[in-house]
Amino acid sequence: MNGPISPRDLARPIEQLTEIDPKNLPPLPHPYEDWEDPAFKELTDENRERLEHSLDGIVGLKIARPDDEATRAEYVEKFLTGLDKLLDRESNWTFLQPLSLSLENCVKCNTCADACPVYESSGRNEVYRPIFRSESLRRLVNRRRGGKLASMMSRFTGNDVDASWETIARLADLSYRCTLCRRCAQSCAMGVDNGLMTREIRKLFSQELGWSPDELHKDGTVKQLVTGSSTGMNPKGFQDIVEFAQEDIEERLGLSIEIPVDKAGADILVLHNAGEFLAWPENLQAFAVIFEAAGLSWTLSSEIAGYDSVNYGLFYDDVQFARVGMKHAETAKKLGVRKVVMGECGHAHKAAMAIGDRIWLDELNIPRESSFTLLAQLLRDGRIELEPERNPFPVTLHDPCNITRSMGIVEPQREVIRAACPQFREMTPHGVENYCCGGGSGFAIMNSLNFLDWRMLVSGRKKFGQILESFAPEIDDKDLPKYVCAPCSNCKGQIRDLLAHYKAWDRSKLHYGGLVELVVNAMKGVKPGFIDWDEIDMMM
Amino acid sequence: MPMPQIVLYAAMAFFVVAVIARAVKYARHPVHMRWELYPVAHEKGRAGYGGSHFEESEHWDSPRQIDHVGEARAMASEILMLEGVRRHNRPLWRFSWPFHVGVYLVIVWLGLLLVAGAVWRGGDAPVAMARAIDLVGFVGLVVGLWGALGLLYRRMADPALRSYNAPVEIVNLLAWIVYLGWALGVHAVEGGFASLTAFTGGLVTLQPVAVSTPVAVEIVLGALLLAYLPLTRMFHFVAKYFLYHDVRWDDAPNPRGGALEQRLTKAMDFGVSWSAPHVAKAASWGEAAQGDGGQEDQR
Ligand code: SF4
Ligand code: SF4
Repeated sequence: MNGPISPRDLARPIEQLTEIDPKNLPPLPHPYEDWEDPAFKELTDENRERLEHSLDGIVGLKIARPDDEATRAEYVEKFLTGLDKLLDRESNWTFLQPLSLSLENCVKCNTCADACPVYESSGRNEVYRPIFRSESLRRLVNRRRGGKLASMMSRFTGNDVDASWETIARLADLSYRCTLCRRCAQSCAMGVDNGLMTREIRKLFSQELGWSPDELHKDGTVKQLVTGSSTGMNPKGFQDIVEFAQEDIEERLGLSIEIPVDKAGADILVLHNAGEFLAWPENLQAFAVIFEAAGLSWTLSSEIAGYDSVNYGLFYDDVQFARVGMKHAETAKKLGVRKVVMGECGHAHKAAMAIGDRIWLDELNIPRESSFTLLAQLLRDGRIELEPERNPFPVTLHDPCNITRSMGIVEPQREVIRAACPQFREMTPHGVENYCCGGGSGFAIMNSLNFLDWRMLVSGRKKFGQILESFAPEIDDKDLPKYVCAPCSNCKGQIRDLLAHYKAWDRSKLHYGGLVELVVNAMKGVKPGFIDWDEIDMMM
Repeated sequence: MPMPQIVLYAAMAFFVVAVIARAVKYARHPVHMRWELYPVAHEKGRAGYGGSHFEESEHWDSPRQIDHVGEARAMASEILMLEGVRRHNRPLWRFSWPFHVGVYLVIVWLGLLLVAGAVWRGGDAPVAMARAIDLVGFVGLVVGLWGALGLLYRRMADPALRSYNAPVEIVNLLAWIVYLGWALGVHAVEGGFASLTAFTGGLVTLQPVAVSTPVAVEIVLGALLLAYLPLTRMFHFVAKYFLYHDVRWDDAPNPRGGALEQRLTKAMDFGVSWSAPHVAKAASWGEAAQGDGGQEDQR
């Protein structure tokens, strides 16, 4: 589309509203001055015909284009009914107050735009401006609430977004161009939360129209509730993983450890993201080594959903969120543990400890704590001891938004990393002001068609630049390995993909991993070499 | 009773009712999920870097340290200095802050006028009081007008702001500019606020007081603005209180058997009207949460 875009243009019956040209993206810092971003993967004619891509040419949600006008009209009607439910005190009691307050009180000052990494990294594409999305929802709501009068006054009041097929299809896709990182909300003096409104849009589409990314719903929460894990791993597969981990610990470290599973009456139930077991089994192993060395009474669970802490409902659907949360709580209750400890997964922390704090009720209200606070406490109590000189390489820390900005857990992980890594340095900015990795809100597992390109070039761009800058003094030393500590499975997946996409091992010897791996690599009494740089080099 | 007086009484009554209605509306929303955003100002010793009670190992057993003074300080700097805008949007703050300070001073000025009217019943207030009214009134009107003009300029000139600002937003600012400008002009010509002190005396004692046409226009403009304010986003004081206290800083934990848990348990009985296939069969939230996992085909 030519000329400036405004929310009302969502309704325009044109093939595509906007396009991202890789040439217009902001440059990356040193040593990427020579880097040329590849073009986005072309959609096939069949995909263009079949799937909605009319927002920005990116297919995130994979909405099938209806052939007939009647079906389109039916969806629009459902969307409008969904708006009513979003504002209903029973159907949306879970978020009605925050939503209403955010809907009614934006003063359009636009301060939030400068805080948004997606908007900035897109070369400031208008449709990614935080208030473009929320203003679209706001205008649709105001039109719906105001009836005929609102329609008549729409030019004056600005409530000028018409509800059409194009509008709802583009809005649905647009709600998957925001990582729900809430950095914009932090900069809003009014307290308005564009991230929250994005999540409410996703929720409307999921709970009313049944539109959600397959990765989050069909292959996410549904799979988790049915087979036990969104990875598809069943309880038997989980047991095999545990056996493998025990053998690997023995082989690598010479330690004979029996990882406890379903140990009734254990003090602690540890909830891990099952993605770790498949992609980074060393994380599970490191936890086991630390907990055994510290003499903790702990267990894992092989119950359905009990061995997978993920709760993708957090990103798109309150009902699915509650269902998965219930399964986690029931698992803890069944085992009779005193507390649940969350492994290195940011959204699982937030789902179980912060939002879930108002879902785990009555006898299911079992205390939950972060593994970061437990680790820091173990160090303080001298139950594990470190030889930090065994981690001589530069290390930086990525702050998962869900754990820092949304939960205020900032210092414990730093206490651990400072004790374990003499070459630790912060990113700028960090802590609660961090930038999202670009894989937040489910993006880290969304790879279909050209969406992976989008999260590499656009949503992850800011973080990749930040990583390069944090290693600036050594970035040109191609023999010195550098470690990005990302203590969250989703962030870790995104950073893995970013480093691979930007060929960061070859160009700057950048690698990534979790927090507990650094601890075990420096742990007194444990054979050195848990982080094996030669092995990493061979795999790259 | 003269028309300006009647209009002002009506506007004041409408303002009070509208503000209370808005506060009640927000306060009566059902309990919601936790959705705080750090830094949370009342986290003792941690607010500076954004830390929380979750940073304690076994946090449920350690008492929460609530820093009421820290929270009050954060609120004061937000209200008086517009700290959030100052930190995150300095160019806007350069106009927004004077505008808000102007409005605060105008409120203080109106308060002083009412006090003077009530105490001296339309008679001459002591010189010190009259001087205070002059000082606060003129500074408030000038600074507020400057800020409002600056905000209007920014909204018109900044292309990013322009496309999100409907005519109504411009009209809102113009309403302030007209009122502040008119009041400033009238009292600059008059050389003070004696006419208004007399008027507020009558207002307090319910006695009619005749005023000149320019002052009558000023009073009616002020009354209309007062009644219009709670209908617009310009009056965000109440909402901002809820946005901060009930959402952004709402980190109230939910201990087993506590009052919050009771409210949440009741909420689980609320009906679920959503109609996507994976939700549609549940009658209540409690039932939905215990659902079969939403295995139904969703599309
Ligand atoms: S969300 Fe907040 S920062 Fe953004 S435009 Fe609205 S009021 Fe301003
Ligand atoms: S939540 Fe994050 S990604 Fe979404 S609009 Fe705000 S800053 Fe941008």
